[in-house]
Amino acid sequence: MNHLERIVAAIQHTKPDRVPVTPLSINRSLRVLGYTTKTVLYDPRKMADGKIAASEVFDDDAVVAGTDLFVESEALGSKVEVYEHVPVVVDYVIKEPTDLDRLAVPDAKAAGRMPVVTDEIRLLKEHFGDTMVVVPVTCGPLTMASQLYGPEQLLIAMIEEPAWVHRLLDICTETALGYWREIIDAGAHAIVALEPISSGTLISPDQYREFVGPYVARLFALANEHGRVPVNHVCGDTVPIIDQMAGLGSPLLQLDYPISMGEAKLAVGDRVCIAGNVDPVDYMLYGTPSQVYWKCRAVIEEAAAGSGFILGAGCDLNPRTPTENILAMVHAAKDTVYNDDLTVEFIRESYLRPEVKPARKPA
Amino acid sequence: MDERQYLERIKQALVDLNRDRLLVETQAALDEGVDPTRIIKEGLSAGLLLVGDQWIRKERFISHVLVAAKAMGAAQELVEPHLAGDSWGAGKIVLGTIKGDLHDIGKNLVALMLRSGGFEVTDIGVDVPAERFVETAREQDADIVAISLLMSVCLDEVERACELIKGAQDVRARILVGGPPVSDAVAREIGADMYGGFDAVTALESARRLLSQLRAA
Ligand code: B12
Repeated sequence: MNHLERIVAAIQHTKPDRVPVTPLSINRSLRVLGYTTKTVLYDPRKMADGKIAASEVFDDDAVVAGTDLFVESEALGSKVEVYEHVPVVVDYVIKEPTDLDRLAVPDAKAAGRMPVVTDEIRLLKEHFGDTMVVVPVTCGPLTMASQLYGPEQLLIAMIEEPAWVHRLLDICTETALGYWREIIDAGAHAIVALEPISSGTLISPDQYREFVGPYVARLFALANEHGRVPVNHVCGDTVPIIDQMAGLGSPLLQLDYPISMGEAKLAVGDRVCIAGNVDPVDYMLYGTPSQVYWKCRAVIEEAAAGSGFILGAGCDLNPRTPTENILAMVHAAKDTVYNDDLTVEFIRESYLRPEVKPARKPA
Repeated sequence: MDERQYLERIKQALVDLNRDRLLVETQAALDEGVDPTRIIKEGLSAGLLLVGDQWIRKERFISHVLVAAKAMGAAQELVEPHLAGDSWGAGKIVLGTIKGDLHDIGKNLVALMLRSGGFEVTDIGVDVPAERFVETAREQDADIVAISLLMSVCLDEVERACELIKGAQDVRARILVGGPPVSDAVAREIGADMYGGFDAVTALESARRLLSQLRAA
């Protein structure tokens, strides 16, 4: 099986040869060539080269295009400043509610960095063809709205001015739809909607139902229509919303570490495929390779049987994540084999001995 | 009605997130000559802390805390002209998110709770280098420096801030740290005086404890 076939098998709940793995290396990948986000931000060639080089080193099952979740809000007029590894909004385009009247959906063919990412996707597709999953990350509507108005202002408006928030979310969704159309045109196999602001630590399940679900569902429908896989990623706690997430049209939920994968699997059954969820910091950044390896095996044991499972980190890897830890994760996946009844077996028992959970602080 | 009933109504309006009623009740209390300091302490702040408690018990969500805080701000504006001066006596706090870290939702909630507990909070924002914590603490003659972080990789800079603060002879501030990467053990390891707890309500309790330690010293 090639990488693409393996991931497709997981999503379709059929039999992959082994557990598929996507460590969620985005900016981390650029480091393989010594790049930082800042140095490649406007250079699709460098972005693609970094990802290709990393894919050769890690040999995982997907390549993630894009670098961050501020492309859309920047195209909509928020001012973004770029730190070494991450851009951030320094000036929100909406200061007064009436500013919404002047907000226009940008042309995704030309606006801001949107064409940079779509060009990167084209380069990645040129290189990998249909052997490797090429999947860009994009910003979900609620998170986009928070970058246009400020997260706290938005959280207040969700209670005080819900109708206004829905108007704003509509513009964000239209912006995303335009961007997704260009991404589809560039040939991506899958597209991720990142929604950190819809985390269970920030909003209630009712707010998710009202302000997130209907909007991401429109994006997911567009991707499905074109035969691409829409991916629903929420950072942080998803326990209260996992059931909703499974019913929005995305066949693949990418989950962060606060939920247990066993629990998630029970909740979603065979409705959707789940990906995750090794702690990107405690394990991937600060753990030892052996800790990462055994943690991955524990996650596999919890959730891989029956297919519909992809091993990965819970969230974007820190750029300083050791190569050995990423390799240990990929290794754990490669040490498995699926039986015909979709149970999973480990084909090797000899990796380094298990260790206790890593410490919170770096050595 | 006695003062207590007025205060109770103010608190209730805030807990109900009813801004209009809150303003009416606050004005009524002022008109009846209720002590403005008590309106702030036992009415408004007490109400906000109740909403905060409901939030950490997961009965309510962050949106509710922020809406309550906004309503409280409007009511406070009515009361402030009647205040003789700051008679709270709680201390001065310099609060910020450490350099390299741009998360501020949690820090802002901490600021809200500290303020509603009577602390005078100077919020120096996000991405704050160690030096600026020291300088601001010196300028303000702060009692407490409170440092927030969500990004584990920024822990080293927090440690550096602790070193600089402890090393500065003319800065007497105690150090409170908080955020998910911190725990009691980590706080001790990096040289902070106290781990402030898992949430904004505990942060206020911790700040009070730290202040009384400082004053007893
Ligand atoms: C919202 C969010 C964002 C928003 C931030 C918006 C903003 N203005 O703050 C955006 C989308 C911009 C963002 C960006 C990034 N994020 Co972010 N984000 C989150 C998320 C989903 C929620 C954080 C939050 O606001 N929680 C709600 C508040 C209320 O809780 P809190 O912050 O913990 O604060 C409470 C307590 O900790 C405590 N407290 C906080 N400070 C203090 C201080 C004191 C003194 C005391 C006593 C108490 C205290 O009281 C607070 C109130 O109760 C978390 C995931 C999660 N685990 O929930 C990731 C998370 C924090 N982000 C993370 C990362 C890595 C990033 C990015 C690098 C991008 C990425 N790869 O995802 C960038 C980094 C930007 C930067 N350099 O800082 C990681 C951090 C990993 C780590 N441990 O190091 C997390 C944990 C996600 C993950 N699993 O990887 N993020």
